[in-house]
Formats: sequence, C-alpha cells, structure tokens
Amino acid sequence: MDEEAIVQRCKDGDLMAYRQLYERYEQPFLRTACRMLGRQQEAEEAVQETFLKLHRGIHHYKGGSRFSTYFFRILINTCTDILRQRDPEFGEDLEKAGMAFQPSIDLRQSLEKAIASLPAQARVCFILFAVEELSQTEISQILGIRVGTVKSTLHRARANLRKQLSVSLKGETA
Amino acid sequence: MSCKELEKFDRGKIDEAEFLKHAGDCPVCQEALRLDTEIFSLSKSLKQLVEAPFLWNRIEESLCQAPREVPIRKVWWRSWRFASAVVVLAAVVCLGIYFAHPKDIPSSGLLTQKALTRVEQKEQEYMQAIRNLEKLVLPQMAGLDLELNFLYRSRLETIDAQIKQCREALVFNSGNAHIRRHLMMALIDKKQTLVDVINLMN
Repeated sequence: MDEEAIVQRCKDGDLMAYRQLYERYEQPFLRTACRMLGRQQEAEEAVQETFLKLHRGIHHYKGGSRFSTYFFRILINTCTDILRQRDPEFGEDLEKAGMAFQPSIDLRQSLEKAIASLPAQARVCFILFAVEELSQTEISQILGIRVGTVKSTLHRARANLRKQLSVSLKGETA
Repeated sequence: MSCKELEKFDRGKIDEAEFLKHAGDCPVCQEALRLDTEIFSLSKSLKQLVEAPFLWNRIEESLCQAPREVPIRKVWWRSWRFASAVVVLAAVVCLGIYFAHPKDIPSSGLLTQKALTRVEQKEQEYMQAIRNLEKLVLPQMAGLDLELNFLYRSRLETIDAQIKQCREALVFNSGNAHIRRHLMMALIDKKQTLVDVINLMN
C-alpha cells in the first residue's frame, strides 16, 4: 500500500495504519536505535516513544519531505534525547568519542565495536548510510545538516573504522 | 605507511574520482580502498533481525492511551483569502447598489399599477436569471475552498432570508415601493453573488 495513504489513515486515527507503519519500520528503527544507544531495552523504548510522538503530531506532517525521512528524524531525535539524558554534555560535543575500541576475534563483532566507538554524529551517519543504505541527501534531511557535512563525516568515519579494523581485516584475509 | 592523498581523501579534500585515479598507482591507497570495500560489505551484514516480540503490544497500548494533539484549525476570519473575499464582496455590493439602483421605484409611497407591472416584470427577469445561475453554481459549490464555500453559502442564505421577508410583507401590501425597492436590491445582490462564485470557480 502507498505510504502516503497509510499516513493519511494514521492522521484519521486508524490504529491498523500504525501497525502497518510498524511492520515497515520496526527493523530499521530497532537496528539504528540499538546501535545509537547500545542497549536493546532503551532502543525499544526509543521506538515506542517515536510512534507516540508521531501519533501526537502527525497532523504537522504536510508531505513536504519523504515520510521515511520525517519518521527517521523523530527516531534520531528521540535517541539523541536519551543520550543527552544519559550524558548531559552529549549535545555540546557530538564529535566526542564513544566507547573505547577493543579488537575482537569475530570480524562482525569487531565492526560493531568499532562503530560503537565512533563519535556520535559519525556513528549515526555511518549506520544510516552503510547499514540502512539511505542516501546522503536523506541523511542530511534526517539530521538537519548539509550534504557536504554528511560527506565529510562519512569520510572521517570510514578512515576511523579503517584504522581500527585494519589489523582484523588483514588477519582475516591473510 | 601513509599517503598524503589518502589523508586528503579521508578529510574530504579531494573527490572520489581524483582519488581513484591516484590509487591506481599507489599501493597504500589501493590497500585503503580494499579495506573500505570490505568494511562496507561487512556493514551490510549488520542488517540482522532484532527480536522484540512484545514491542508492538506496548506501542498499541500507549497509542490507545495517548491523547492526540488536535490540529489547531485555521481561524477562518483571519485568513487572508477570507478577508480579501469580504473586501471584494463589499465592493461589489456597493457598486451594485450604486449602478443598479432601481431608480424607477420611488423610495417611499405606493407604486402606480403601471409602475408595479414594470417592477414585477423586472423582478421576474432577475428571478429567472438567478434560477439559471443557481443551476450552474450550487452543484459545484462543494468544490470551492472550505472557507469560501462557507462564506458564500451564508451570504446566499442571508439574501434568501431577506427575499423571503420582502415577499411575505408584499402579500398584504404589494404596491409598497419601500419593500419593492428592498426586494429588488436583494435580487440584484443575489445575482451578483452567484456571478462572483462562478468567477471564483473559473
């Protein structure tokens, strides 16, 4: 079904339409929130809060941007709020590093840890671009930053991951 | 091992095409590109399923309990379209009264039989014109903007009420020039309003 039609039904208060949105967005939202927050419990709360926020303010959505971009932006803002509550200085320094990276034997686990160690904005950009396969334009709209900033952030994230994973990846191919 | 071009690329200082051209002859950059490709293909494998079996139930429950923010309806009398329509209508009514003032009806007193026949004939012409316009306008009024639709419908209802009042008064006093004059003005007003609606729809 056309997403705009589902959104219209949501505006009319149709709970089944919300269910349809949930089926479409559950996995990308949970994956993104899990990687941003690091804990599934908090990720689930963020997704729940995202649906509530959509429900409360869906009439504000006038179709100016793609709905997926609008919806993702609510999720990212919700996750950012949770991170800010966890660390009050989070908003002041989005570029500060996350957890310390520790190489792991399993390559995928190493990548997960390396992504978790990226600075917050680089982490979100990389997850949305490399894992969820959104375009740089969509990411810029979701995060409210310029496409050029998305590009340079992705460059830095890629360089950071390359540095962290070079040993593991060389070991894997050797 | 490092390469200045790779550092520039990582800072976004050179574009991809330029970097790829350089990487063709640089083993350091070739290795970096190979690692990048591996990282990106490995990243896609992170798209695994996250199990959250009771999440929808929780969302559904909270959606049912949550009050919805009722959209603040645009206050219709503050709308610029409404304001401009009022101005246009007022201007049209004033002009209509000024130009189409039925000068052959005395402002007071009783009409002579000859004058009354002429006035009644004029009224009939207006009524016929109004009926023709209504056939055109009324079925299409639903297509008008909500505020304009409301505005014109209430305007037409007001004029109809005036016409009805005049007709009721004329039953007992058909030659009353004052009432006839009011009736004629109401008919002119109604015809002009219907013409305005047609112009708006076009």
